[in-house]
Amino acid sequence: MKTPEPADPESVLDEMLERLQSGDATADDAAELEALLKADSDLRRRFRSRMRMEAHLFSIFGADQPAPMLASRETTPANSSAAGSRIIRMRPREMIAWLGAAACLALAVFMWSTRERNVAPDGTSLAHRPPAAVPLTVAQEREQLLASGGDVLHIQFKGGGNAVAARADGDIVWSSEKQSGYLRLHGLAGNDPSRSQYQLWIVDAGMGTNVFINGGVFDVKKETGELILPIVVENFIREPILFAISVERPGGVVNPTGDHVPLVALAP
Amino acid sequence: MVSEHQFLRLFAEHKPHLRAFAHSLTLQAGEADDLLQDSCVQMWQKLGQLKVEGDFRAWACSFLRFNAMNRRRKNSRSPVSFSSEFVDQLAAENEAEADLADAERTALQGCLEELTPMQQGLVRQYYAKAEVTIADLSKELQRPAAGLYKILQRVREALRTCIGARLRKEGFSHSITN
Repeated sequence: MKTPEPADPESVLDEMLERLQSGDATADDAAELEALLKADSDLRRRFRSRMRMEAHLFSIFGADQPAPMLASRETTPANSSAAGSRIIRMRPREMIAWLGAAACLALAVFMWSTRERNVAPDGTSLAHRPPAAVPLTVAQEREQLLASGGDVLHIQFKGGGNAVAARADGDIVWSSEKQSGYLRLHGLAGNDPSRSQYQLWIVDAGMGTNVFINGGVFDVKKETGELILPIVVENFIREPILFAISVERPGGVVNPTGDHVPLVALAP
Repeated sequence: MVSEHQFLRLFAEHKPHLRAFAHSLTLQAGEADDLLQDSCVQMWQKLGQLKVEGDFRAWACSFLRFNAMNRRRKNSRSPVSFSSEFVDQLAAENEAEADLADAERTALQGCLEELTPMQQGLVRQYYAKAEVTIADLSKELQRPAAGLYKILQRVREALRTCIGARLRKEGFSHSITN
């Protein structure tokens, strides 16, 4: 009688990783895999490499590559409390519709119109001057970008325990396709513009982790509830990996001093 | 003493490795993202502990390791987890392979370019979101799940072979395939 050939360890790993990913794995599966890995140091080494490869692939393709939305993945609405640390990326099915000449034209028109709204009459960027108020239209534009899908990133800010951000939260909505985004904040301590200003920084994977791109300075008035600001940067942002807000001298600085960084948001 | 600015730069620099490490601890990409984000905030809050930039990676990994164990304890009913001792063992082994992990990532980026456009498309769709399963892809592409599973297996195998070859050229004796 012929003995069945033992399963190829790599195939076992493939199958197990897919089951883990799909949520179909059971406690018995995990125990079986653990026993297998404990008994075979070579297989364990391959397993570690496999897990790293999986993580690298998610990291490479998950951040900025457009992909059609899958039928079972509906957009999750932003929720500052429930979402907590979760990073919400939206790739709705409508993304498919963007793949064509008509979509390119629409995108160009949208970018042009957005650019117009983000530039002050005197030609200076609104992101580099303190916001006078929070016009409703900015909030609406933010919602519009959030709902537009595509490569839109929606990232929650997290505080680092700094006093000025003790009760602060907020989020970033950013699209590299549109080179447009919005910063939303609640509860950040008010600043005295004659002494210091808040400054937004962006780290882009394409420009290296040593380069902090200036996202503009802004003020927070004591009575401000929710603050929404358009983000306008002079550099092309290809793959943002980190947004941070620092406290700097009036007018901002070329490089963050790093003395006070109240809030940070990490892209996936 | 490491400043907050230095911390942000270090975190951005080491993020690919830390994410891979988190993935190996949680076994699920979505969980890994949550673990990394939560750990980042804790690291930031305890930045005073970090005296030298060169210690950052090991220091950060210790947060991931500790938080992974905590999450596991809090969610003890989760059916898909290894034993605490085994997670510890994997974590220690992973930390010792930091250089290899960096080299693997660089090699992988080159190897992805060697895939056919169809393979690249499938990989992009599968890995675009942590929660995507082959069943999801099957519905989306209207193709049998078994066929997609085999294609992905072949693609992973091709990537492993390619990464192994590139790493051997760089002098790594133990790589992903041997």
